Amino acid sequence: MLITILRNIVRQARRQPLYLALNVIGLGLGMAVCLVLTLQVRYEYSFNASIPDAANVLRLDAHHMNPGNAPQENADVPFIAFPFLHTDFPQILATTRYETADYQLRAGDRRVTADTAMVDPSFFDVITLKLERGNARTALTRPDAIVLSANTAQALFGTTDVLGRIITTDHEGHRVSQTVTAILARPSGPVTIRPDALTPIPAYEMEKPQFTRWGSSAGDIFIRVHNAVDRGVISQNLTRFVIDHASGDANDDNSEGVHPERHFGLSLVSLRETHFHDLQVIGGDEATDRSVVNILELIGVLALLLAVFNAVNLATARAGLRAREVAIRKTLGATRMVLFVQFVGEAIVNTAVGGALALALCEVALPFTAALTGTTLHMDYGFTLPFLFGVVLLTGLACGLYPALILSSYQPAHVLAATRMPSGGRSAARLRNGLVIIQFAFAVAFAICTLVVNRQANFMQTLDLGFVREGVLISSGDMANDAGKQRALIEALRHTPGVVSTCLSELTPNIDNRHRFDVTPVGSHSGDIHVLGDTIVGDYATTYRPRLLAGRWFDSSHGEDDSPGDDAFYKAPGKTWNVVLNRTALSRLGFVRPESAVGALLKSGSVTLRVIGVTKDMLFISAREDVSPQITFYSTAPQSYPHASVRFSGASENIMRTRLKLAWDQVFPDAPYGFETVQERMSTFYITEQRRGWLFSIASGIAVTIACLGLYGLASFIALRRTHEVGIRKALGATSQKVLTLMLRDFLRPVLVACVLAAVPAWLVAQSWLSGFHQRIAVSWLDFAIVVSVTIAIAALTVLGQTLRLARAEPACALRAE
Amino acid sequence: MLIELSHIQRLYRSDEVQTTALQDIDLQIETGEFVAIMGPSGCGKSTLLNILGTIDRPTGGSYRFGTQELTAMNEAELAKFRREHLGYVFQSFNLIDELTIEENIELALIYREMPKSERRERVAHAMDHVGIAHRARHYPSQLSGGQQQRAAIARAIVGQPSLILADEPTGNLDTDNGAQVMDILQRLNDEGATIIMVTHSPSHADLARRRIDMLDGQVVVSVRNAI
Ligand SMILES: Nc1ncnc2c1ncn2[C@@H]1O[C@H](COP(=O)(O)OP(=O)(O)OP(=O)(O)O)[C@@H](O)[C@H]1O
Ligand SMILES: [Mg+2]
Repeated sequence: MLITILRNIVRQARRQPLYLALNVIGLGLGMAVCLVLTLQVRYEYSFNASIPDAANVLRLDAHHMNPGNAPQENADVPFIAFPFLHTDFPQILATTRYETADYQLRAGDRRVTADTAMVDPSFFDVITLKLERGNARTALTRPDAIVLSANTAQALFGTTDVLGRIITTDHEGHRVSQTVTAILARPSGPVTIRPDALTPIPAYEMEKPQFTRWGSSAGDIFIRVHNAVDRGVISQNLTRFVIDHASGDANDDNSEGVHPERHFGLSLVSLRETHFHDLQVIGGDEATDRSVVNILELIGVLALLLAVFNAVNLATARAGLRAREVAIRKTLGATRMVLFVQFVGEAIVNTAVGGALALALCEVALPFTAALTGTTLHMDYGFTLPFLFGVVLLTGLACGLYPALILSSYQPAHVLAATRMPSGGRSAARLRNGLVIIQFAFAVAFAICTLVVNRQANFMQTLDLGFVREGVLISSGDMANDAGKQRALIEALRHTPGVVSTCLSELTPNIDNRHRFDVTPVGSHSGDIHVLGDTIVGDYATTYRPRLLAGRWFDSSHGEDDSPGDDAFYKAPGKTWNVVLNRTALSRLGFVRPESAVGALLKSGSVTLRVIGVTKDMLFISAREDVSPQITFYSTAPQSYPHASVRFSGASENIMRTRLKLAWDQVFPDAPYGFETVQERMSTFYITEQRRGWLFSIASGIAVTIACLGLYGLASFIALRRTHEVGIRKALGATSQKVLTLMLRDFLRPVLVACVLAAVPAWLVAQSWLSGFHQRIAVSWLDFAIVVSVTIAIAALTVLGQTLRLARAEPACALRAE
Repeated sequence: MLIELSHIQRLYRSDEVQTTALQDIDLQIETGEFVAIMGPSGCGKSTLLNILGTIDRPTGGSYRFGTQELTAMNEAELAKFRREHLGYVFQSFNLIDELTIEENIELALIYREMPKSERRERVAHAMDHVGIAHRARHYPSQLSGGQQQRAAIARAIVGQPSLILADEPTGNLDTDNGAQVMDILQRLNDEGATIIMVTHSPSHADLARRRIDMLDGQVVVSVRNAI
């Protein structure tokens, strides 16, 4: 049987190379897309899967529900909750705090900036990261312990065999010697917890207000529980927990007020969930939109389905050509069963050839996809081969069953007597049309969504941010609250050649620290509005060039412009300070026009704020995030942890980077930060969409290709079958042009129907994806028009050759066909 | 004079061989004639009919129809000529499988500008004429050979052509059906149509007014039947 099948395929390859090639290439492409996307999706779903029992490792998240702001989830929680967790919840097996900070590590003359997690000694009881060296139970017990990642150890020592070695660490000016107690193994899969180093929380850190105040967000708290039931119990009691521990006096900064549960909540999210959950969580892990990932898998499956449709289409269309073979075999005594098995077998062998092609394509494409999507995706043969085997088998069956059923059912007498080849009749023709419609409907829907994704990605990159992003460089790290050094830095930067202006501010593109407070318009009865605060030092207006909608910008000659800053103004009760609002704050505070707000007074506690100007919203955030109402102060005093920003001209970006770095290193030799462009700081906001856009483009390009391969095969078959008909029509007086229009219309009708069918679902999908963005494009009819016209043009080109040949046929010649 | 062929030649060239299907044909046919063409298989009868029907072009010579020189016309003009003047009955019926009998017949009219209602009326009339009205909604594969041939004739006459070309219209039919088809053709001729018919049946040829015998791509005899 196998020999018969192989011999048949070889014979077909010789007699109908085009058909076999279309079939195998179509299937290969379909399977390759399916395979690559499945690997990609599997990667996205496997985050933290390599951490043992990660589903029972839970992160405590804070929820802030403030008037005037959308509710916000924060992965960073107040550490004051930490000691109570153990006492309140016996279900908890272990907990650890987890606060990250930049550490300068030094071993001999090698220096490394390490993203270091300050944790409790119980860390490895909660998150059982694998160690390459050392003992998890004792690794963090001594206060001077430091655990290094394998990469960091390599960078510092050139080897990982460094247990017991002493290194010098520097964190916020605390320079100490620490002993390497363990080395983290390189994770075997994607993980969200991948610090460069781990160290016990230093004593000085614990004295910071975020360890003692409910209103702060310090870092992560991780909890290990036994199972989902225990998790449920804890979740249910978290409101109670907040009421019990966060209640306090209304003016008590360390508590969350009389009714903390009204504006503050806690929730749990497991490590297996964070990668999808954290999309809109502040301080969360690098996240991916789960629905987008699922759509990717859907695209993979659909691409394969398109290829299957192709194969079925071509096979049923061509069944007629093999009718005589069937008739003769049957006359010679073959049973229907034998023929059926033979045809299905042929389909499976064809698919297997396609599968081999797919594997090769995948091998070639995977490094590109990994680079494109910024993942560490690799070909995992332990998964790929069994998966491909299953796919080939299923695909082969799907491709083979129906055509085999048709073929094996031919009646020999009927076939041998007929003058024309059977084509499976009108029902098979309907099936073929139906399949072409479905193929193109999917291809068109993909293409529309692809266009929308790409337009949104592009929109986010070119969005009007409310300031002039070109020609600005921003320090990659913030600086200590040291007046002398801050002034020294401003001076050093100002005297750097090429620098036009310099300023310090807490908020910069891609905000890393947020400070919020409550205000109310004086004389208004509405409640408090929770606003984001920023304080600027230096020439901010020239550096960022915000757009003033009304009023004026700060000016150091006005006494009340110079405030203590947003972090400290409330320490001067009874005073009035001048501030600038952003557009969102303006509308949240109830003003209709920017002009009407100028001169208005706001109350915050016992301090009065006078609005002197209103600016357009400055978008320092992701397009997914809602713009916060913001109030900006001006100060000449030092501020807590500001970034430095510089506007430059007359020199290239890279030259400026080097010059500014020199100036910075003079003032902060121990904090080796550089300068970044706005683009660099904000690219994380749109890079995933951009990468998705590429992936979608490629996938939908392939989907259209597969659909066109199918259309081409079908058209060449139909052209063959209809030659005779064209002869008749021409003999009856049809011109070539009439025939051409008729044939084109017949070929393109299913494509048109597909476009109509695809429109609504594509619109819904695109709309729901876009709803995840606060700054977004609108789906336009142009998206549809472009995709539909391009698709029809491509489809028309695909069938044009066949159609032209058909339409030009000499009638006498055409009538002789068959 | 309706048709005037002079020095018509049709060569088929393939890579090595050259076949002469028609060789120096001179032929005149008057309006209202009923001509039968006979000859052995392969002598060029169908080729001649195809050239008369302008679905094949001669490689040499001239073909005048009334006052028009057809060999000088382009493809679109020929298509127009066919739909205005010609009715075709093929040897192998040549009905389109995917269309019903009614639609097949209508095909001869849809390339003319004519309101749908008139088209329908003419189709119904043509089907009556050949006696297959009760099969209007059937597909060709559901009809017998004789019925299919009559449908093909209905399609040829529905446009009320001045010239009907029939290539072995009775070739695939039994005696009875053959006689019926000949009957229809004679009736059409009586009504004024010019008919040129290829046949292998001497008795059917005798029903025509004139008989042309062909051999190896040439006309050898042309005789008028006494009626
Ligand atoms: N497309 C072609 N290419 C080459 N030779 C052809 C072609 N068409 C016809 N011929 C040749 O031209 C000659 C005339 O063919 P034609 O079909 O006119 O014969 P016929 O008289 O109608 O025969 P029959 O009675 O069998 O139908 C034959 O020798 C045939 O082989
Ligand atoms: Mg013939």
